[in-house]
Amino acid sequence: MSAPTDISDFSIGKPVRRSEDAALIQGRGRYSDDIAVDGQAFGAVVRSRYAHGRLRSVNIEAAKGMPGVLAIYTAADLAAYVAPRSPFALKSIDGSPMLGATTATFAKDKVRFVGDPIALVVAESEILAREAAEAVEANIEPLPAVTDARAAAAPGAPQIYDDIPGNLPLHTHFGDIDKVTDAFSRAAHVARLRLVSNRVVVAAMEPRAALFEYDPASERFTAHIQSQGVFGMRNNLAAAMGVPPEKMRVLTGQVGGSFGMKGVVFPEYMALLHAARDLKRPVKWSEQRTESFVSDHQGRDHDIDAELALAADGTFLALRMSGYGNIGAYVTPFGAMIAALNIHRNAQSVYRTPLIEMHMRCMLTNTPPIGAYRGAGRPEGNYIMERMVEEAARISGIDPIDLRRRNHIRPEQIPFATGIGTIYDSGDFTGLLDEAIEAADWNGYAQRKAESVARGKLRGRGIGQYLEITAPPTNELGKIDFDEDGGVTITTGTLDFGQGHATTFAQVLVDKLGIPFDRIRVVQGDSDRVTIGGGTGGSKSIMASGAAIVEAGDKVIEAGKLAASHLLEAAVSDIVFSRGVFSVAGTDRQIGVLELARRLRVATGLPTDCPVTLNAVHVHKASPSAYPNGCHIAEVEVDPDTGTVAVVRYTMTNDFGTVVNPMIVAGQAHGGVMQGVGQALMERVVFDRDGQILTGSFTDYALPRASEAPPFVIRNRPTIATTNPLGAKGCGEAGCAGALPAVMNALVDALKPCGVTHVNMPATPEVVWRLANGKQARAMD
Amino acid sequence: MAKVSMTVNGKVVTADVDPRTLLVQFIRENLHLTGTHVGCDTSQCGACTVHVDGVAVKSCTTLAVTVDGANVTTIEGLAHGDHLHPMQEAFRENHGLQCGFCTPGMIMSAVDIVNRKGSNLDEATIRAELEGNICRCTGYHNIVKAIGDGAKAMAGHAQAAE
Amino acid sequence: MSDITAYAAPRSLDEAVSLLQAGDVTILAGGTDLTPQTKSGKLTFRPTLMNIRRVPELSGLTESGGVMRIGALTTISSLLASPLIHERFNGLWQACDHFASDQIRNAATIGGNICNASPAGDTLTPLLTLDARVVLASKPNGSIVRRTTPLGEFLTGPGRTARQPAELLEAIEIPMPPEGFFSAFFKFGTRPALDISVISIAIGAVRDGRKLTRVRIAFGAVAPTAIRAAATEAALEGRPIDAAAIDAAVAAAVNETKPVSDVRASSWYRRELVGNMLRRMLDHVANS
Repeated sequence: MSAPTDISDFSIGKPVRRSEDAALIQGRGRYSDDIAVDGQAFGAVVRSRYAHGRLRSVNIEAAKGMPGVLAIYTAADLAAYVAPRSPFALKSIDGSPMLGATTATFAKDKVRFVGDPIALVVAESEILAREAAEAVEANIEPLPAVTDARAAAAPGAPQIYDDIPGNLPLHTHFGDIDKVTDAFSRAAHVARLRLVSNRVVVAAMEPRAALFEYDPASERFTAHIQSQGVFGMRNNLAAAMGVPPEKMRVLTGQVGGSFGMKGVVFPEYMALLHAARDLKRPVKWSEQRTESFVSDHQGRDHDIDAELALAADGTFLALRMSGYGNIGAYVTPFGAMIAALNIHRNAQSVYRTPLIEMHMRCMLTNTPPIGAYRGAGRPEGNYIMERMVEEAARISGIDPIDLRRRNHIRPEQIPFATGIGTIYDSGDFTGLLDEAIEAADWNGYAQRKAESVARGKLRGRGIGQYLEITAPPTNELGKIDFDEDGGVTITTGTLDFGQGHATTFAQVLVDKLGIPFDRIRVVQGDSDRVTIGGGTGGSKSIMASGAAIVEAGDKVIEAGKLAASHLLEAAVSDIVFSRGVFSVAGTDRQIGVLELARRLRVATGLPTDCPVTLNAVHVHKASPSAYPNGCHIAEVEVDPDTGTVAVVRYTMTNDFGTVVNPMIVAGQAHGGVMQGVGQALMERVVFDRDGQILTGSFTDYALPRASEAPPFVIRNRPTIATTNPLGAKGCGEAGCAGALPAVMNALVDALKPCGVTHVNMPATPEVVWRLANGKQARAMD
Repeated sequence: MAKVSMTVNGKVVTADVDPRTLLVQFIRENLHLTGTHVGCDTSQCGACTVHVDGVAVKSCTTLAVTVDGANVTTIEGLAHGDHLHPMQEAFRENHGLQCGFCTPGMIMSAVDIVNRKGSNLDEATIRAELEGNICRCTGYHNIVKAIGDGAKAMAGHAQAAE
Repeated sequence: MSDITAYAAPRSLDEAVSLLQAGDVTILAGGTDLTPQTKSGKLTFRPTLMNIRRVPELSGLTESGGVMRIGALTTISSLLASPLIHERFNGLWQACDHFASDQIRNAATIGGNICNASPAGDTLTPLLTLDARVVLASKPNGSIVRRTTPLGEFLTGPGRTARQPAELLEAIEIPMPPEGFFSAFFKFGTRPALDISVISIAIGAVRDGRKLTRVRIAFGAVAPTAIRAAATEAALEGRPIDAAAIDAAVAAAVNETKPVSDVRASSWYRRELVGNMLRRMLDHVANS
C-alpha cells in the first residue's frame, strides 16, 4: 500500500494526477485494436470508388476463391439490419418529419459517396482479407456528383435519392418572422456576413477498430468496440441487429479519442456482427487511417448568411440566419440536428438579443456523412455571433468591447429566460470579459504590435466570448460498491475517451464520503455492469455522473448512519458523518465508512432494520443543461510575404462552474482550443468535381502540430451552476467555441491595413495571401 | 519468408516473417507488445515511434527485416522495473496525455529529442522537434511542458547515476 | 499480386548488382517512402525484395581529389551530423534540417530521396546547385560497370529517373566548390512540419565582394522534376547583387516557373511564393 495521504489532497478542486496514466505511459492501455482472441478472423470492407453511381452488380466470385477467404457479405445479406434512427424528432417547416432518417447498411442499388461500403470480406488474416477485398468487383455506372450544399440545392443538381426531392430531407425554420422583420425595419445598423464552417475530419488518433464475437449456445453477441457509453451502444447495436438488448454485450476498453464520432453505430458494425454469427468465429476489424478519411463521420460543413440588427445605441435587436447544412450522403443520428437545432440555440450566447431566426436547409450531398464533432453546433453558433458582433462594431463605429458590454445579460438579470427557450441559471459575462482583458494584458498590446511590425509582420488580436448549451444530463447510473478487498467501485454510464473520468469521479467520491483516493475504482466499459446511462457527449459527463455519484453517496451516508447507530449503540439521529467517519455526536465513539462496510460484510445477527450493506445503486434523473461560458483572446501574426498565420498568444478565462480537477479541466480547454485553431487556420476536407477526396491523408490534410500551437494562459472564473449538485458546467467542448471566433477576429484585425473585413475559414496561407493582395490577385487570376 | 532476429527490450527474439512485415506489426502481433500504436499509414503521426539502436524511427515505415540484428526499445522497455523513466513520470506529472494513444510515440520521441539536443530545451526547440508526432487531445501545451521537465529530470538522473 | 517470393540482404555491391541483373527486384533502403507507397497501392512489390542496408560500399562520406562522395545509403541524419556538410554545403544541410521529421531522417537515405524523384524532394534542389552527379553501378557482363551522370539529367519526371532496372545508385559525387562559395535553401509548406513542400528554392554561388559568379538556382515543386532555373541564374551571373539584379532575378523566376495547381496551392500562389521567397533569400545575401 502507498503511504497514507491526507484525503483533502484528493478532494474537489485539487489538481490530482491521473490514476489512468500509469498504464498509459507504459504502453499498457487496452485499445480496441490491442484485443486479440484465439480463432479470430479478419474483416476488410470494399468501398465505392465513385461518389455517385448506380451499383449494377457486385461480383464476389473471384474474391471468394482467394486464399483464406471465409465469406463475403453484401447489402443482400444485411437487408434485415437497420441502424438506429436519429433520436431527435426533427420536422420540416410544413410539419413533415425528416426524410430518410436512417443510415443505410451497405450500398444496395446506388453508391452515394467515395467510401460508401459495398461488401465485407472476412478471411483468415488481415492481409488476406484486404487482398480479397481488392478483388471484389463492384460494377458501378457513374452519375454526376454534388459535394457542396448550395450546389445540391440548386435546380438541376444531381438527385441522390429517388424519394428525397431536391436532396432536402429536412428544411427547418425557427423564430418569429414578423417580429424579426419588424426589428430589422427599425434597425439603425445591420451587419451582414456569409460565414462558412469548413468541413473537417475528426481524426481521433486511434482509428476505429472492433472485435465481435457470437456465442451460439446463449445466442449472445459480445462487441469489443469503441463507444461513448456502453449502455447506449449496446441498445443501439441490439436494435440494429434486431435482437433483445440482453443478447448484446458491449465492452469498451481505452478509447483513443472520439470527439463525438465513435458514439454511434456505423454500417461496418452490423456487417461484422452478422459475420461473427454467420461464421461462428470472432471477427476483427481495424481501419487504416486512409480509410478513416472516408469511412468515419466528418464534422461541421455549414454555410450561413447571418444578419444582426442593431439599434442606434448598439442594442442587438435581432439575429437572422439562413443557410445550408451539408449532412453528407446519409442521415446520421446527429448530423441534421447539429445544423437544425444547435447552431441557432448556441448563437444566443451571452447576449440579450431578444429575437433569433434560423432558416436551415439540411442538404444531402455525395460526401461522407456528417456526425458530431467537438461541440456539434456549439462552436458554429458562437462563431457566428462573435463574428457578427465584430462586424457590427465595425459598421456602427462602436468599440467592440463596449458593444459586448452593452448587450451582455447582466448578473442581476439571472436567471434569464432567452428567446430561444433556455434559462441561464448563473454567469457574470461582463465580469468575465473584463477579467479576460486583464489576463491578456490588453494594454500591453500596442508594444507587442510594434515589435511585430518591426519584424515585418502584421499583428492582430481578437475576442471570442462564448456560451454553450451542454447536452442535458440524461438518466445516469451512480453505483457505489464496497468490495471485499477494501476498495470501492463506482459504476457509471458515461465513458472516458481521454477526459480522466476515473480520476475526476474518484475525487467527487473522496469529497463526498472521505474514502481514500487510491481505494477507488471506476467502471464504465461493460454493458453487463452499466445498467443505465446516457454516455458521454455534449460536455455533460461531470454533471451526469458527478450528480449520480453525489446522490448515491447520500444513500450510502443514510444507510451508514442507520448501520452505525446499531454498531455504536446510539440513536440514528445522534449519528453524524464527516470526512469518512460516522460518529456519535458529542462522544468519541466513531467508525470509518470502510470499516463499517467491512463490519456489515462479516457481521451476523444484526437487527432486521440494520442495512446489510452500504452498497448503493442510484439513478440520477435527467436534469437541465448547463451553460459553460468564457472569453478567449487570441493574438496572431501574419507573414505578409507568404500569408502564413501564427497564433502567438492565447489567453482564456472560463466559467465552468465548480471545477473538480483544474489540471484536467485546463487540458480539456487546451485541446478544444487547438481543434478550433486547426479548423480556423488549416484543416479542411476538399473534394474534386467528381467527389473524390483530395485531402485524404495526413500528408494533405493539415492536422495541427506542436509548432502550430500557442502556449496557453488560462484562468477559471466560476459562477456556480444551480442545476446540479456539484455546481459544475462541463468543459469538454468549450475550447472550440471560444477559439474559432477569437482566432478569426484576430486575423481580420491583423488584415485591417489591407482593407480586409472578413475571412472565411480555413485561413490557409494562400487564402490570406490572396486577401492581403486582393487587387493583384484578381488581376493575375 | 525471411528470418529476423533482434533484441527487443533486452530480450533476443527470432522469427520467420513475410518480408513485407512492418516492424510495428512484428512488435504488436508477434511479440504482443501493444503499447506501440498505429495512428496513420503515411508516416505522419508518430504513434509508432520506437528506438532502433538508440535512435527514434517510425516502426510503421520500417520493415522488420531491415532491423535484423538491431537493438529495439519500445515503450514497454523504457521503465526499469517499477521505476518509471523520468520522461514517463514527467508526462504524468504535467498531464501530458489525455486519451493516451499518441503517448507512447510522444514519450519515445521525447527521449530521443533529449538524447540529441540535450537536457536544456527551450519551448521553441521542443515544439520544432515534435514535428513527427501528432496529438489530437492536448493542444500540445502540457506535452511541451512535460518534455522540458522530463529532459531536466533525465539530466538529474544521469548525474545521480554517475 | 504483391507477393514477394524472395528476400535478399546482400553483403556486397557485387552481390547486390548481381541480384539486380538477375531479376525483378524492389530495392529497399530506408523504406520511408517505399512503405507508404506500397500501402497506398502507388507501388507494388516485385518478386524479389532486396534490402541494400548491409552493402558497405554504399555508405560513407569521403572527400578526395576535390570531390565529395556521399554513399547512397547515407541517412539524412548522418548528413546533418557532418561538420563538412554543415560548413561547405550549407544549403544541403539546411534541406536536411527541413527534411520530414527526426524519426524519418534517421531512416531515410539520400539515395532513396534521389531515386524517389519527387518534384518536391528536399535534397534535390541543393544537390542541383552543387552540380551533383550520381554514380550508378551494374553488372551486365560479369563485372561491375559504373556510369556517372549529372543529377539534372538523371531526374526525368515525377517518380521517374534514368536509372535502368539493373542499375544501383551507389553514390553521389559533388565537386568541392571553390573559395567564396555559399549556398542556401528555403522551403515553404502550407505548414512547417513534415510537409511536402509547396515550393522550395536552393541557391548556390561564388561571391567576390558584391559580385556573384557560378550562380546556381534550383526550384522544387514547380515542375515535374526539381529544376535549375537558367534565366534566373543568368539575371544574377557576374553582376553585383543589388536591387536591380534582385528585381531582374525575381522577374525571371516568376516568368520561368510553370507550377501546377493542386490541393496544396494554386499555380498562381506558387509563382508568387517563388518570387517573394527568392527575393527574401537574395536580400539576405545582399545584406550579409
